[in-house]
Order: sequence, then C-alpha cells, then structure tokens
Amino acid sequence: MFNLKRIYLLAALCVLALTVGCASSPSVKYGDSKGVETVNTNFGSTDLQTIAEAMTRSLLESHVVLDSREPPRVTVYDVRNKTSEYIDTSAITAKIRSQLTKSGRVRFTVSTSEMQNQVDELKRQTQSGLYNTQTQTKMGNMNGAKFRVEGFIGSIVKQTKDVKDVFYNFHLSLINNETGDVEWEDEKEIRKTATR
Amino acid sequence: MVSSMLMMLSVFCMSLASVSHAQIASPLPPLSKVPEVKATQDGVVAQPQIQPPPSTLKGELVDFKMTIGGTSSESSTTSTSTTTSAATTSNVLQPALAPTVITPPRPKIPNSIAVTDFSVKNEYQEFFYDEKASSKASFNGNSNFGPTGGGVAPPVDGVAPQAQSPVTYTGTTTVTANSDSNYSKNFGTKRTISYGEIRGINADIKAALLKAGYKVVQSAPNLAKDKQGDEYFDIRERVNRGDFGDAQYVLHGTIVNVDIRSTNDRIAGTNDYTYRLEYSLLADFTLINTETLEVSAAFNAMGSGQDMYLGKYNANYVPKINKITKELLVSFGQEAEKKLYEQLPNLNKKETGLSSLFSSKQQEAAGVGDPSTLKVYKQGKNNDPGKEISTDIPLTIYKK
Repeated sequence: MFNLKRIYLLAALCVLALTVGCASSPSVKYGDSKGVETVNTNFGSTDLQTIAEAMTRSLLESHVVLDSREPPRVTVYDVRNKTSEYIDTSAITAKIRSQLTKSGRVRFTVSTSEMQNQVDELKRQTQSGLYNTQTQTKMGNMNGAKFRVEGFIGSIVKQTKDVKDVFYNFHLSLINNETGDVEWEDEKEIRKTATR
Repeated sequence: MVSSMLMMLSVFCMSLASVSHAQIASPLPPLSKVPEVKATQDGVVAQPQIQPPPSTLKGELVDFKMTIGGTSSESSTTSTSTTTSAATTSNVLQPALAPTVITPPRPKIPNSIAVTDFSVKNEYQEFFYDEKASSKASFNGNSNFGPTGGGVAPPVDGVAPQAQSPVTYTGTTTVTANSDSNYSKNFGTKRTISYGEIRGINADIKAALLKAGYKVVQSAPNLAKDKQGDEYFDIRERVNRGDFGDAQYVLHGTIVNVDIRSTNDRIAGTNDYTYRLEYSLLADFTLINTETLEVSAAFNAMGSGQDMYLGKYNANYVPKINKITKELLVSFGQEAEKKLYEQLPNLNKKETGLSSLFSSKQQEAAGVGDPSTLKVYKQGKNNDPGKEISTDIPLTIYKK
C-alpha cells in the first residue's frame, strides 16, 4: 500500500516536471541589424552590408552617374559565387540596387531573373483578350538598359588546428551594353579570422 | 429608144464621177496627208514632211523578194522599204503646198507633282523535272498450211482411178515482232521575270505634298508589254508618252528591296518564346522635272512593320498581316515625308502688291544690290537718254 502511494506520487511529479519543461520558451530579443556579427567566419550580414555600402558609394561617385543628365538605365546580372560556401548573391545585388534606386540617380530595368513575371504579365494583358485596349500595356515598349552590372565574389580560406582565416573579394563592374566598354569597376575585400 | 436613154444616163453618171474626182484631186492634199509639225525644245519648227498621193510615189526599190507560196512577212518588208524611200524624196515634190500646223506644247501646271506607283520587277527561278518512258511491242503471227496437188482422175471404162499427181503439203508461217521504246528526261531551271506596279503605298507621300502646297496629278498606270524588258523603268519614256499629264514634276519611286523575316527566339530567363513576323521596305525616290528632265531631288526611304506573339515552344502563331502592313506604311510614309520636305523645290508663288516691291528674290533677279551691275548715266540734252560714263569710284549699296 505504501509502495503504491509512492508510485503515484512519483508519476505526478514526472508529469509536472514535463509540463513545466515544455512550457518554458528561449529568451528572444531584437538586436541591432547593423551591429557587427561575429558568430563564425562564414559570409554574414555584416559582410553583406559592408559590401553593398561600399559598392553603392563608389558607383554613385562614378562619371557615368555624375555626368549623365538623366539617371542612366541599368540592369543587374547575377553575381557569380566563386567561393566554396553557399552565398545568396542575389541578396547582395538586391541591396545594392535598392540603395541606388533610393538615391534617385540610377534607374533600373527588369533583370533577367525577373523576366518571367514581366512576360507573363504582358501576355496576360495583351493576348488574353480580357483587357480594354485603351488601358492595356502595349508590347514592344520596354525600355532597354544602357548599362549592366555584373560581378563575382571569391574567397581564399586557410585553416590550421586553432586558426581559420577567410579572405573575401567582391568585384563589381558597370558595362556599357552598346559599346561593351567597362565604364566603372570596384572591389571590396574582407578578411575574417577565427581562433580557438 | 430605151437603149439610147440608158446610154445617156451612163454618160451623165460618168461625167458626174469625173467632176467629183476633179474636186478630190484639188491642189491641197487631203487632211490625212497633212503632216503634223511639232515645235522642238529649242523652239525651232521641224521641217514638214509631205506624203504625196500613192500614184506619184517614186521610191527606190531597195529589196524585193517574191516567192510563190512564200510567207507574207517578206512582202510586207518590201512595201515598208518602198514607202520609206518615197517619204525621203517627197520634199522635192510639192513643198509649197504644205500648210504649217504648229502644235505648241501644253503648258505645265505650276507646282504640280505626279506621283508614280512603285514599279517592280519580279524575278524567280523554278526547278523543273520531266521524265517520260514509253514502250510499245507488237507480235503478229500468220500461218498458212495445207495440201496441194493429188488430183484423182475419174474412172474411165471400168479402170480404177489412178492418182495423177502426188499430194504435197505446203505452208508458210510469217512472224512479225516490233518493239519500240522511248525514254526522255528533261530538267533544269525555269526563270520567270514579270514587271508590274504596287499601288497603295504612296498615299502618305501624296498627302504630304498636298500639305506642302503642291498639286498632285494622277499618273497613268505603267502597263507591261509582251516581252517587256528593263525599259519598263525608263521614266523618260513615260514622260514623253505623257503618262503624267501636265504635271511639272514627277516623283518616281522604285522598290529597292522587300524583306520578310519570320523568327522565334527564346526570351532569356524565361520559358517563353517571341514569335515575330516583320516586313521591311526600302524604296528609292527621284523627283524629275518633266520639262527639262532635271533631277530636282533624290532620296531613299525605309519602313518596317511587325507583329509579335509571346508563347511557349511550338505555339500556334497566326500573324496579323494588316497590322504589319499598316505599321510598315506609316513608318515608310513618315521617313519619306521627312526626306521629301528637306529637298522639295520652292513653290513658284507669284507675288503681287507691295510685297513684290520688297521681295528679295526679285531684287536679286534684277541685279539690285550687286555693285558690279550698277551703271551711271550722264543726263543728256533734249531728253537725250544720256551716255554711260565709266567711273573708278567704288560704289557701296545699302539695302533697307
């Protein structure tokens, strides 16, 4: 009888402990999105922001932007990832593009990766027969970009038992689509070292 | 009595006929023989050529062939040569009888332009192949076989009949076989050339000329003859033929090239294709003065029109031809109009009133303003118009 009571009590304590354990959540807090992130040597948010700011500033100071009366039309090509790790390079170009667009001194056209949506929308309006001919968009009126932005990101990684050194090199070019001339070019280098 | 009356009637008729013949054979030639005299460009009247009546022809027989049962073309050639030689000698015969009928050239309508349709030459080659084979065979057999001779004499006085001649069997067999086979193969390239006009392209150009103040004259169509050659494009012949009425200028257009492109290309970054049909036209224009045949302007113009469709691979695309043609004509007309305005000769406007007194063009035409044309006259006595004196003093003329 005594043993049975002890068994019931033990079971009740276990259930209580499980309930309390499951209900507890990890502590979450908002941090500074522009704060320095040093979790590891992989490509991170600080690297992304550093590269985007450096490239935007340099491009806005280029003669292409400064000398043109109207904002030059630019299209963005994908930045090739030559590193051994996975990096979403479209995030880098998207950040550069948004900062340049906000400046109002550069105008962007639809990039290759966004063309499917553009074509689908044109097809829907012009070929479906559902739209008013007065208000529908006309085919053949897309503006062509005079320049294109393209680049790559590469890395050199060296690692010992206690030290890991990563060197990132981000390279970006602005090319005249008509002449093929490279009108502007810049690069940003980042070194990250982790020790145990 | 009746016969004498008939005789008198016939004599009367003959005399009447002779009178009428005498009236026809008057000194003036019949109207059909009066040559037409045209004034040349220099204003010199061409020498009249009289064709005397056939009875007075004295032609030199150049060539004459007579073939019994021959073709008629030979005799016609001979008669032509005879007539030609007679015409050359006719001036000597009756020069004083020729009346001079001068047909002055019709005045051209000032500031008028005739616009021709586009003359085109279509040339295409076609491969042909013709192979024929035929064979015919015939076989005839004829056989004739039978006994001959062996006649039996009739019994005479109880004597048994005896054979008079042996029986022989003779026969002939004729076999005839004929075989005929033919084979022919013809192949090559057949080249066809045709000439014609394309209408309906010049409407915008005519409208532009009307806007600029010119009168547009409708030109006669240029019809191709049998065995037409490249003289179809000879605009001078058409001017002389009067295809452009009384127009002062003719704007002659010739199509240089027509290009039709049908493409389907994949759009980068998508799974779609663009299906496109495009027409483009390049034409050459020449503005010619119909009096002097001087080229007053020359340019070429290009236009293009296209229809596009977005779709997946192997989409069923039906192009809108009317849309393409309209775009082509609009763009072609705009470019032609622009280039035409750059080179159009100035309108010959008659200035009247006070404006003509201050017209710079008239001043220039009269030599006013040019010091080298200024002459100084000394006043003479008794309304003497005076004599021109020379002066070495430099003269300066100021315009208002």
